Amino acid sequence: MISNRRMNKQSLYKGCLEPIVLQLLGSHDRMYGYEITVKVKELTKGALQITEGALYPLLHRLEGAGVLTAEMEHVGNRMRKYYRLTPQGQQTRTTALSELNDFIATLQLFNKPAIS
Amino acid sequence: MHPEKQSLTETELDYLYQFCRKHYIRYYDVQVELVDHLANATEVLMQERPELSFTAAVDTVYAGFGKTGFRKIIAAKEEALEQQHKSFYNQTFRSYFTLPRILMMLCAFALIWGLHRFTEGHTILRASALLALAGAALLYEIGLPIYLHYAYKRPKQELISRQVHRPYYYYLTIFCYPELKFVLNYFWDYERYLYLADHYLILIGLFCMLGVLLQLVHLEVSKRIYRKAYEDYPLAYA
Repeated sequence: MISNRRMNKQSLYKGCLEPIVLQLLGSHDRMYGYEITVKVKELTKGALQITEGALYPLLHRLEGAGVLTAEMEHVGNRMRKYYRLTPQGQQTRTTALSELNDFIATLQLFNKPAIS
Repeated sequence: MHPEKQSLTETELDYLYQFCRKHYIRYYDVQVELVDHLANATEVLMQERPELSFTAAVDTVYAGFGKTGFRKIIAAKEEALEQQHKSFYNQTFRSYFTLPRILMMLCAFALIWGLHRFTEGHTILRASALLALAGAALLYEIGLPIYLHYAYKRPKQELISRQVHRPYYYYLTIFCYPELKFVLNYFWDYERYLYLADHYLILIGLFCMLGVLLQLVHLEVSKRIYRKAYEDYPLAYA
């Protein structure tokens, strides 16, 4: 039952993944994949956990669309891929956030008591 | 939580590369990102649960990728690169339509047309000029991939960016076909080429110009993709 509830919560978050990632990248200069998953977990106190199987396809799609740009860097004994928002990405981030806020406002309508 | 310090050894990192290959990630440029992710998550997990062995920790981290594992990542990466390459081609193609370049193309076309008018009545000269024109375009289009092959070092490990870009070369060979047919027909049926209709000449001229233009665009985009791959993943070439 608990795991079902958790799964439902995750499916609710699924559609919000793109604005979340864009917002995070907008508030940081650049981030790498693992860092994003950790940051999301930290910020939501574990309520939202991005699966890697959802994060990387999204990052690659946004990179392909020119929303993100990537750069490689040697960190210790391995290579790391950092992502940052492009100027086009800044615009996409603003649009995605405003769409998300509209969506939340629409959902709030169901929460209000019916006006007789 | 970030690992306090990178603790994985070179041997353990090699294991992670092998792990990726075992899970059908054959492209080095995808492996690099996944290895870094697996390594970070494994290091954190081993700090939290020191009783776990390295391989057990890796398996636990891999389970976080969901049922589809790495498969979804590869499909999404291919799709994203196709989209990116298409936009590179569109950008580069559009960049050729600036005023000086349009003027250059018009001059080239005027030259072909002038050649046609100038050689009127000189049938052999006309046929030879046409043959030279189509032959030069054909040589350029065949020579370009050979140049790219030798000018840009081939990686020792497979890179998805190069793999996804490869079909563009095959699409462009379509433009070689009418030129090749034209040149071969010249030797096969010489008489036909002495009295060519104007529209045929225009068509061949346009085809040659479009073929060369698209190959120039292809050359520029290929250089951009190959250069980026070399700068980002130098170890794939070592």
